[in-house]
Amino acid sequence: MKISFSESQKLFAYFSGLIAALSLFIYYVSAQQSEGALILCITFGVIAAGIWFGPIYALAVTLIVLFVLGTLMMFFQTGQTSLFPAEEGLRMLVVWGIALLLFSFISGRIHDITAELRRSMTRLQSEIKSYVAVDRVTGFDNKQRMKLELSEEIKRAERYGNSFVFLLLHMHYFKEFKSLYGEKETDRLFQYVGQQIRTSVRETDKKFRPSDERIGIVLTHTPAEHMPAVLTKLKKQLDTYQLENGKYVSLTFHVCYLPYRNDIQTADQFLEELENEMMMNEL
Amino acid sequence: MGNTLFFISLSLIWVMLLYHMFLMQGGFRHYMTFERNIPKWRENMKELPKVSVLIPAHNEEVVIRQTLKAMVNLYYPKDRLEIIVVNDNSSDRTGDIVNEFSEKYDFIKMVITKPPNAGKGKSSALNSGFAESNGDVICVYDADNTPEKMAVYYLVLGLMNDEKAGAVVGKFRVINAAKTLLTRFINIETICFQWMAQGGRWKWFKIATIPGTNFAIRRSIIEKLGGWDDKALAEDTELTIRVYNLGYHIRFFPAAITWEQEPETWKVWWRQRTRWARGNQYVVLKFLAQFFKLKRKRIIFDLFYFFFTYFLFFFGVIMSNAIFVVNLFYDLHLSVGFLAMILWILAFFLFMTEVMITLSIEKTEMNKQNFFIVFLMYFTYSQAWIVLVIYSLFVEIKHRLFKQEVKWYKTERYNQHKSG
Repeated sequence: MKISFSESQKLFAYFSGLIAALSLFIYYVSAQQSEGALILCITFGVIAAGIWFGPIYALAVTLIVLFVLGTLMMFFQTGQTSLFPAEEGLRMLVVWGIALLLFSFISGRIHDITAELRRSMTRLQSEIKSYVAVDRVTGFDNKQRMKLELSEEIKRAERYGNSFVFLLLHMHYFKEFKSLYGEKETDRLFQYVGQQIRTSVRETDKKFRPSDERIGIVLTHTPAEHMPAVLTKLKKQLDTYQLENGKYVSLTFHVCYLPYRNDIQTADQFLEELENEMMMNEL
Repeated sequence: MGNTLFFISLSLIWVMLLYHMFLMQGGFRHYMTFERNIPKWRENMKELPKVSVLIPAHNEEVVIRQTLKAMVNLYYPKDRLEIIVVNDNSSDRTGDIVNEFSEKYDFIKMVITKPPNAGKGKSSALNSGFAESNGDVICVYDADNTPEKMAVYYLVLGLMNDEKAGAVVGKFRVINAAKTLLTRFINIETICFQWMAQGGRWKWFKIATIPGTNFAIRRSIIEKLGGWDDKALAEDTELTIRVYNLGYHIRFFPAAITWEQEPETWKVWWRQRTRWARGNQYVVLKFLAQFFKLKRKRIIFDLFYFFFTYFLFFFGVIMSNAIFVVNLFYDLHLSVGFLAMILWILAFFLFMTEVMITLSIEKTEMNKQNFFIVFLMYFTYSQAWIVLVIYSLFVEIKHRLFKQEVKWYKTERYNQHKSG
């Protein structure tokens, strides 16, 4: 039976391991060397780099320390006179080398697990947000609702032989617009886009805002042949937008659509296929 | 005399370690920055070029179905894509499987090599496939590859947005990494190769080597170069030098990812890597002989890298080992013995650290298991490489002296579904 540990248990184990290994190392170094203080300082530096910045940085410090040490030895060591006393020095070097690698690894893991915990907290917060099913700006349903509705529509089409088309609009330069004109103007823009879409398609068609820059529409009982007409109408409606200051900006979208096919059985497959089609069609 | 030689060989090893530290830093910087261009490039690329994907296949029935499924799933408009499987003298069901796909998808077709070019190896098969293709961009995949959905799109994206790039190469990962201890070693080796040799050289010198798979090259370049060199065992390295010599560079763009099989047994590994080592030795010797005729001196770095790897570094390692062994039986009055011991220990730790840093770039690979495998790798896999390079050099010299014909060894494939 495989035993699995939660991230916080792992974090605790790594911390305990680090403290135990570090105590042993301090005990060993303090009993051995006059250069002990320098060795300990460098070791603490490596651990700090690992915990603060991650494993790569701890290992990079280790790498530099080992390389500089070796190079200095190669140039300054002559004959049997050594920077370290022979056997003792050799043992110290081995122990220190292993310790640096081990501490880099453990401190790096602590950093990674902490970062993962932080990420999962952010993820949870955004999931809580997603329980609010309706987008406050456009009034369209969100991504979760979109998947559910799409899944239902696929099942209906399977059972009753209906046709439907899923249309996806991806607004160009959304981020640039937002950073240039701010949150308020962006909300205003999407209120406008939402209104225009409502006037362009039927009330019974289902509209969604799956992400900031995307609008999805399920056009129920619609064969693919009708799509050129729908697109022309949308293009006309979404061509320009008047900013609050009275100036006009042109709107452009990536657009793709996918009619229902009986080889696609889940909403996820449908959306994946749609992403494939998300190519080159300028509206 | 003994002391001087010993010191020279230690210095060579040390310089090689320093060079790899330098490369590794470049690789890390490339990892941090390579994705930044993608949004801008996507906006720039309004028109997608026609792409021909060449897949040389010789007795690939075990893997070709999986590869073609991955090709069908590629994120690229199918009216601008043609997949050409070059069936090179297969005696198994490769042709039947490809036919199944070509009947179902009109963008997949099969080209059968004809004598005298049939069964001559990868270069020859690629030349046959190229003759039948009509894409503006040529992509090459080995028959055991499973490219990720976006792989071809990213290769083309990189090529179209960098007019100085003659070719764009992606990243490959090992699909059967967890299968045996050997595949675990190879997995670590390939990650290091990608980020140090490819990423590092690209960041610092704008140089990358075309691997045998997962790369895109402009059709005009292949036409200018007259195709692949069918005498080269490492046709990819050979092509790299000629592309640079035309004045282009080769971009390493790790967003394009493919998954490929690696040898699961030492026997297969030995044969495959002997071919690589011999191929690279052939390339170094071929182009060093024409050194002063090469128009673009930037490729000196590449030749230098291979020369260092396959000749100087091994000279250093072998020399220091030889002196050490001789000294056991006959006193050479070495005064650097203790220093050598310390440097050996430090070199081992440096190796461990460099490999661990590179593994940390691939997030999931820096784990407890790999920590110990890297340790073991130094004493086994890395030492096996030394023996292999010496053996390859011996075979290559013999081949040249006796003017033997180039014989292509095809790497054995494994069924991933059966083998897990």
